[in-house]
Amino acid sequence: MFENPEKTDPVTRVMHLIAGLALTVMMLVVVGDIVLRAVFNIPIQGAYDVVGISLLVMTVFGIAPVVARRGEIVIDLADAFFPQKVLRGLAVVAALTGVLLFAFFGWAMIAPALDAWRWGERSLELGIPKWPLWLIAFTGLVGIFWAYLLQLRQSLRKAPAAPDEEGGL
Amino acid sequence: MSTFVLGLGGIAVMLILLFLRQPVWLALGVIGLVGNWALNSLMSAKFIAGTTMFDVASNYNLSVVPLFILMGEIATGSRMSAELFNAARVILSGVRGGLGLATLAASGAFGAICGSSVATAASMTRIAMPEMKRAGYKEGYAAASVAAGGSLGILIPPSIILVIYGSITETSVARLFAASMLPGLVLLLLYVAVALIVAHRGSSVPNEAAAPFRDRVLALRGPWQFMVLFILTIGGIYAGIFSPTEAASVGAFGAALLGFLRGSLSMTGLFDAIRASVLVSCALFMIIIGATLFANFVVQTRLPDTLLMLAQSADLAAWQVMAIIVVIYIVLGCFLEGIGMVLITVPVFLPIVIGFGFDPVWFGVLVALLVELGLITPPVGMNLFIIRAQMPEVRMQELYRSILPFLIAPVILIAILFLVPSLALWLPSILY
Repeated sequence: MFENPEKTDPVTRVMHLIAGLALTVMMLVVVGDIVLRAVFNIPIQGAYDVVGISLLVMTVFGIAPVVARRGEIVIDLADAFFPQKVLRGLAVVAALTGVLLFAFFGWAMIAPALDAWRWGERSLELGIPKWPLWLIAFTGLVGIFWAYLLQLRQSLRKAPAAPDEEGGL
Repeated sequence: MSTFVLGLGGIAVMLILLFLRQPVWLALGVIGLVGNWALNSLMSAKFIAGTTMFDVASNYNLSVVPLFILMGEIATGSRMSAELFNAARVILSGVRGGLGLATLAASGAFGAICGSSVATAASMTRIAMPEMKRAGYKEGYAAASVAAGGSLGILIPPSIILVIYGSITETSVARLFAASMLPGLVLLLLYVAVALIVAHRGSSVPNEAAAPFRDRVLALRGPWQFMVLFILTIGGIYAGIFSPTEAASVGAFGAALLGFLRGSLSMTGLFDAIRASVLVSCALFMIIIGATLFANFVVQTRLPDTLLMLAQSADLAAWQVMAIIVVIYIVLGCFLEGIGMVLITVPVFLPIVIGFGFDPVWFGVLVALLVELGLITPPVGMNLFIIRAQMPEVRMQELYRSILPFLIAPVILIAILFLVPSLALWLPSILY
């Protein structure tokens, strides 16, 4: 149902891959921690931090492929009432709003990122400086911004498809 | 303009944006930020926007969401749902409407390792619908069984909706999982009762031959891997051995391991499951980010407090207030998607619910049940669309007509939850 721009767009393809790796790392670290704790009574030092960081990587890198596929969850009640032309217009508005919102997010995130660097904020268990994590978040943000531009281009070409099972729970 | 009016106006504009096909997360986020700007200043909105995404994306407590989704995706890719269905159909053979009952039973069981109603419905549509069609079941009855069974995944733990409810209300996910178990089982039994009544009253289902007793006993061994996963994950949480995040990781890893050992999962299948999990999880995280911004605005408008004061000054009894909330959820459920509905409404309603002396864990179960009802309520029941998307030959009118008797089951359970709250609160009280 969803368009799959990853076939042609290497940026979202790579971001999807990184997000998948982060999810795998998250699972393996927790399982490894449980096994090592149970068998050898040696927990993995910093498992809590690694899970938090992996989640951050998965989320900020995984949003771009969702956006590029127009996979955000929408209520498609309007489909029954409006012609394709209007639906395409609404999709363009959504993509434009996304572009503006992420530009705002980017601007808004500069101050807390600089604070993390200035004040030397560190993670709880491993004591890793937090500013590189903000850099990761900014990298993801650039990808999301790019994905919204792709979505905008797609929306200008054709109306969105109805959401399918990938979009809900 | 008072903050109360601003709050109500914000919610109204957000609903209009949702109707105008704007993504749920965008509608929530934009209203949250603009509302914050209107209430305070641009700098205040900027501060919230600057920290929310990072905070949500690195919140350890939310790591349970993608991990349970991964477990469900791997279980689906390993065709565990098919094995559950095959076992259930042999065990229930000979009963009139046995395939429909098998669909409900297998859906309930699959929901216990999947956590996603939509994934359960999608998977069962592919597995059970062709079988029921071959056996001569009417399409409407078959589709309604799949839709109702699929919705069980939301209530029977692990439930993604309950994890998200727990994270936004700071309620223990383990307690929520314990609280939803018995209502989930009761709902399964109610659905079975409805399916049996419909099967005996009409001509929707044919008579089926019964399998020998020995075959039925042997069929119980079929879905052993499901039992292993269920005991590991939910049993592990109930026993206090695993935190929800640990249980979800072990479940995802265990599902992959079992899939490889039994040859039902390939590396490609695993990669597909991981990729799908990322997409579903991130679509949810976007809504959580939007909802966090929105909730921040709603709290500042003091809308929940004002509504609570209004309800108290109107001399309404606690059950009357809850009844109003339930009706609002049922109406919203006809039009809104489940996660969005929870994230929009819970920040507004929870203070009122607590203010009237209800337990937030009990309310969590009630909300999950109402979301479940919304999944099969026309006109926008997500499960109905999932079935229709995969079986376009099933007419929508037929589907709407056939699902109506099944709507009685969750409504009865809502009444039971009101009359006997301990149905939800008993298990957590003895476990924790």
